[in-house]
Amino acid sequence: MASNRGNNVGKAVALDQEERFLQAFREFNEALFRHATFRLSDREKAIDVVHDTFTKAWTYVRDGHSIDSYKPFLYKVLNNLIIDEYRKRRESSLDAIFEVEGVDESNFSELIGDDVDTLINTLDGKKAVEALTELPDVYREVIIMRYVDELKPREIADLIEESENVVSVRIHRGIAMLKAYTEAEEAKIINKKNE
Amino acid sequence: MSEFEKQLNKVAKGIKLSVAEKRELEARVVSFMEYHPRREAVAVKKAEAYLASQSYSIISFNNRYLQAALGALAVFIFIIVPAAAERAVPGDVLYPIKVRVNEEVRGGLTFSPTQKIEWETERLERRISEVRLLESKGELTEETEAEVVKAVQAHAEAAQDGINKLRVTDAEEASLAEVAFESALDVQSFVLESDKKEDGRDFGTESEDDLADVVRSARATAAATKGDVFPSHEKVVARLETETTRAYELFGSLDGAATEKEKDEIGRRLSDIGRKIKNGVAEYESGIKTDRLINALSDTRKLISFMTDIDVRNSVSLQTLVPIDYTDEEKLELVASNKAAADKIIERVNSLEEEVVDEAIMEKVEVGIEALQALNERLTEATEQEDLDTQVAISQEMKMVAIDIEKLLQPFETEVSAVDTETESASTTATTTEEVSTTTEEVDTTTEA
Repeated sequence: MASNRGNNVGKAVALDQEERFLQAFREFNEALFRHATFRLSDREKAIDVVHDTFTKAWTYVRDGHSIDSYKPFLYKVLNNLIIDEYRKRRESSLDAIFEVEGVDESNFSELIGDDVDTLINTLDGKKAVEALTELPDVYREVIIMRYVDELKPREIADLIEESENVVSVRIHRGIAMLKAYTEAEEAKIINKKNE
Repeated sequence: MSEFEKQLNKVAKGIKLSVAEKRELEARVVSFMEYHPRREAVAVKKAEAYLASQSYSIISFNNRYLQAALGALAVFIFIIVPAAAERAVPGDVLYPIKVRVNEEVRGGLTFSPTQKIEWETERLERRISEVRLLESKGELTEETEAEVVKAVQAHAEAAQDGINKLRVTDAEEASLAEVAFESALDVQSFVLESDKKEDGRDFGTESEDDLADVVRSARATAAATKGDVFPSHEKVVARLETETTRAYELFGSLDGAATEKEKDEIGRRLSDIGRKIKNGVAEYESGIKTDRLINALSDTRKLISFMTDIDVRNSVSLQTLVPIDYTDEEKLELVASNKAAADKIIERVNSLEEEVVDEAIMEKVEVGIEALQALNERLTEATEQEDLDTQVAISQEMKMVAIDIEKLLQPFETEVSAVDTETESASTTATTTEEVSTTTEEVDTTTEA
């Protein structure tokens, strides 16, 4: 009897892990795909990285680990895979990633001026979305996480393994860049018209 | 919500996996899960299997031992014992296994009637070989001898019976089987006869005689019941091809197993057989019916026995088994040399007239000289008729007489004539290594052609 009970418990554990994983898959595959598409601008590639995200997650579970919360785990894996993808592509944005490294993100002075909410309200929505692709990925990453995936700065900080402040600075700086970019683009158009 | 966020949501909502894409993605992921099941899950499955087997644990434990024991027993019974039994001789514990199990099983595995006849013949050869082995060790008892005599008789009858039955369904094949059977009996006859002649060996006992008698009577039965169907030329040639190929293979693997002299002799016989086949085929093509090819087949079988059976090789000379088949040139040479030996002795006797020789002996010598002259006349006749074989036979007789005369004269003569050496060298010219190798090569080329 005792062994039978143990057996059932074992079964329940096994079932639980598999069931939970499949639930997470159903719950997050669409959001992960959307996030990947925004970041990579390549539908097929996005499907592949989402697939790889889940297989990596399953391998982790299979090795006997337990995932308490799938959402941050999956985003973290996906994020790493996207960075790998950038490295493979060696696009200009990659250079941008490293350029940013030299920027002092512990300087919060820029946060003192307009806060993000004020700044974001001044953006030309449509143009700003289009301009997203022009942003260095470190900024695009946090902006997408914040406004598309609707993650809190705390969650983003955990995902990208930075402090919450750094996340806030990047979001603010990203939005400011979008504003500057869209304004510059607008200025170019006006100049062209004037010419 | 800012305009930016609204726009972003709008775009984000447009980014969706199609139903097909979603289904495919899920299938890929689930498939990955199935191919890489959780180790714990595997462990659970194993545990389940283990628990399921628990109620039978005692039996399965025993079974494993039982299986191992049964396996070992099977190996012992079916491999070790039969292999050990193969070396057994009458009187050994394993001998009944060799005869009643191994040989019966092997016999049961032969399907064609020809194979069955050959197998019975081989069993007959085995029995004779066993008796000879025991005899050479001095371990042969009367009981064993009697048993073996019975066994040899039984195998001979079984082979003969097989031939008789085969004759009903395939007379040609039966004729070929007869050739093989008779060749084997011939070889064994020679072996047993040679034992009887050998000095210092206790062969020639009653049982030994019985054994020789059994073989002889089997040989006689085979000759008496011989079918009158002559196997077709094609069948004989096909069988010859198989047998000569085997003989050449054996010849090629003789290194170390036979002396150079034996190899030369075997090579010579192979070339003889090759020539016989060539002549036999030529005769067939020109419409002449001879048994030359059948003889060649019989010679090949005997030669194979000589090469494969060390017993045979040790007790019978190849010349006894398969006498040299001289070529026409060799025959002419032989006749000439024999005749020269005879002439020489006549000349010597003539020159002896003046010397004092015992009268009684001189009478014998004169009888011998007369015989030589008579033979010489017959030889001339045979030469005129171009009958080479008769010439050889007469000249051989002349040589024998010449040697006898020489022996008679020996006590009275200090100068020994060279009859012996000359005739000897003449008769063995054909077996010199050089000639053998050339003729072997010739046969090789004809076989290949």
